[in-house]
Amino acid sequence: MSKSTTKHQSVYPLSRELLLSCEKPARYVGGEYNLAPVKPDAALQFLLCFPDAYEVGLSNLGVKILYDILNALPDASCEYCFAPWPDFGRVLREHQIPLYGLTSGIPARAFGMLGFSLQYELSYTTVLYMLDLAGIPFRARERGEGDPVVIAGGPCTVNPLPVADFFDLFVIGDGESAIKELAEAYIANKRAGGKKADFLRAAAKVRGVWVPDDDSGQRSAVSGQLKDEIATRHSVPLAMTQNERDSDRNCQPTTDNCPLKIKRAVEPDLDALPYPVKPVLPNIEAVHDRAVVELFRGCTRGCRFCQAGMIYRPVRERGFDRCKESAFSLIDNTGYDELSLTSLSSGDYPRIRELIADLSGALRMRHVGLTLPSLRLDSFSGDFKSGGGGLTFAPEAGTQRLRDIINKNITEEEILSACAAAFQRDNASVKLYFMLGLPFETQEDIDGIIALCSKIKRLGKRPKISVSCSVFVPKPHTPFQWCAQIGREKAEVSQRYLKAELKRLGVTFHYHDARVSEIEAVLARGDRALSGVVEAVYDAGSVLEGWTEFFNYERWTAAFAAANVQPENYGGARNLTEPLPWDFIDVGVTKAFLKREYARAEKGLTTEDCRKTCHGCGLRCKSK
Amino acid sequence: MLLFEFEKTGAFRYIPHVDMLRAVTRTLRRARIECGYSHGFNPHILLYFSPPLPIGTASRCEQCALDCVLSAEEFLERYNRAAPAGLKALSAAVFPYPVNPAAKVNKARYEIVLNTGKVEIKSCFAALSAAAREVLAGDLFEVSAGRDGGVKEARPLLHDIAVRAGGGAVAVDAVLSAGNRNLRADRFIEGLLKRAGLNYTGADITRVTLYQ
Ligand code: SF4
Repeated sequence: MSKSTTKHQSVYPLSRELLLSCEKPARYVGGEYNLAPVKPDAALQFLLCFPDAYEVGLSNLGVKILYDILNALPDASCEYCFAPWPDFGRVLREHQIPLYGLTSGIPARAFGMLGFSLQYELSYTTVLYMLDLAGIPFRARERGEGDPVVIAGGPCTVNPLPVADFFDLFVIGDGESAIKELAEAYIANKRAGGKKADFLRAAAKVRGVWVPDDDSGQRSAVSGQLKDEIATRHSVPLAMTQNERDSDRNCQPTTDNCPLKIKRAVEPDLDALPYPVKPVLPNIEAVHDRAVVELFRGCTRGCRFCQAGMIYRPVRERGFDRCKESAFSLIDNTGYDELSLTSLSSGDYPRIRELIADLSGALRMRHVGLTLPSLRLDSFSGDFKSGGGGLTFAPEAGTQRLRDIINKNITEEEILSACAAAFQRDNASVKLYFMLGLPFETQEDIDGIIALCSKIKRLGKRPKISVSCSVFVPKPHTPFQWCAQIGREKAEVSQRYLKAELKRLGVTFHYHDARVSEIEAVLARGDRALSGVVEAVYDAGSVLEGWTEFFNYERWTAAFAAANVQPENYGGARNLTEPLPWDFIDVGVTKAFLKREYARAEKGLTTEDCRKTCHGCGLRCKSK
Repeated sequence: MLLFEFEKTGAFRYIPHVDMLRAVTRTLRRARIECGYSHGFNPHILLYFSPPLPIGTASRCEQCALDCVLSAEEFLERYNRAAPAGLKALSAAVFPYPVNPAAKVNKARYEIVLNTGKVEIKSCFAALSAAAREVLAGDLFEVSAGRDGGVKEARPLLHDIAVRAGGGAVAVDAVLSAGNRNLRADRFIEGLLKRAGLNYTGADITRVTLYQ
């Protein structure tokens, strides 16, 4: 734990020739506007790692929040690091240049802590790619005192098991307080001359933190007094016998004798938290290159397929004035010409109309456009713009029956009248999002997509309709967590059918690679047996698999076979009574609630928006 | 119209023209400098730039013209307070008539500092000077025309070459056509080094003056 970057040499300036041999060299040179100054003598040197390209990473709100919090601490310094595109990765290897922090050029391995943001499962191989380029051992237990502490946060950590071997700790849930507490614990431990294990012991007490292995290499074994402290903190029994420990190396025991439950970190009051109003501006155009105000976290709609709707409960709103202030500060500090109000369902923000009215006048004067990317169909009122360009709606399923099953409380009339209203205002283009392979889906539901499109088509004068179909992945901590993933072959049959039928209708059709969803399902629902598979796939050469051009299905199937892992065991249906690998993560919604919701889905019963009636999901937010 | 000259140095030398345009636009907006906007569905600030630089070439003489009512001094002060390092304005002037640097500029001077690697400076200087004399005296000078491996006849686009040695490096100053008929400084130096029989191991290229 004696990390300081002062004695480490920066890799800057990189040779012009090396940079120019790669696509988009501006990704690799730093110098962005609004960068926090580097504090080379700060006790905590934190490298915020995003396992995807620069343009994706700098679009992410979560990392912007953490960057600000860490840099605001007097004894901490935080820089960004993104996954190099493969061409630059090769250059780094050939010239033995280690992966580095983007502001200082200091090698990643000289940092005290590396924090990875796990946004989607297919980024797991890219985590290894970045560790590899940094010269840091993959597995936590292979890393020594001289190596950085490697941590992870982000939505994927609600089932951290498939990548548990690679991280020293996970932060599950909201990161604001947790990262601050972790940083403070790290700094205190360093000042006290403590070892990495001492820090991890302290870290385990932070709400939302899971330390997979202790210093003796035992999974989740925590001793003595600390055990009691954590038990109190997490208010669940911690005791874990050797038998339990040995019982199933890959799956956490989950029933009443559960040895450890990790409670997700939940920020109760967003207004009490800092908001990044001075974000780093990307050197080249980012995927989402605009000012972003987060209106609220969580969602009350209760769509049964939606993991975000379950794992970010309860709804916590940012105050009206705070949203406005943040919007104006963001524009002042960035010069962006577009401001986006985001959340899981922006139309549900209580004073949304007033906010739009207040913002749009002032923003128009400054030539700033306002967008609401996540507008629900039923909150569309025809007086503000959703996303960029035309209208974007997500009916998700083709028939009312299936929409009821997934609890997407939207009727066909609502869909049609929203489209009709849009067409009347000359807005003759509509994008519709659907999912294939939802639980209880039948051929009628696929035909329903076509029928819906042809009805919408009749509403306007040759409207441009485009349909985008993803393949559903049943995710942990949702009412569909027990359901089977549809699998590649079945999904491809539906895709071929829709492609032909929609073409006949003159509707543009986009669909996701069914093989990607199949692998995603395995990783999302996996356990510790998968870390070897992830490593094997990386070793075979896979990185940046979120990009279609780099995804390689065959490497995954080969790695499953080599590791004797049956992907069907993970992607297939699970029994409602069997323990699930992610049961030890307590996101707040109870298993009983999820089961109830599953049972209602089976019967085709909807559950009302919980702003109106509380359904007792486990968060007890109304009783607080 | 106001015309300002700005640098494109440091990290910004690696930024493509379109992203540089975006960065200048954002700087103007942060500085709250009122400027002329285009009309239409998606109004944007009307900016007129000097001919684009290739990625990797720095500059101390980029130009940009815009409609704005500020005095040159006030513009410089406000712009630079909001500008990122590497994209600072160097000077500004107000004209009572429209200016468009892209239309006017036809030549540019470049300062090219060579990475001579293991080649001794003296012999490098001698070889380059000889090559420069030869190229200027002759009427054929081929340079690479891009990644596809083609070549382009560049002698008509080449106006002056001066080779200097000092401070432990060899540098070449060259005046090359810019704008519609353009000779890229990186391709020029590659060609000259080839002519001199030297290995190309890289160079730091900066555009230092624009000519009309
Ligand atoms: S406790 Fe009730 S109101 Fe709160 S999120 Fe759960 S269902 Fe909704």
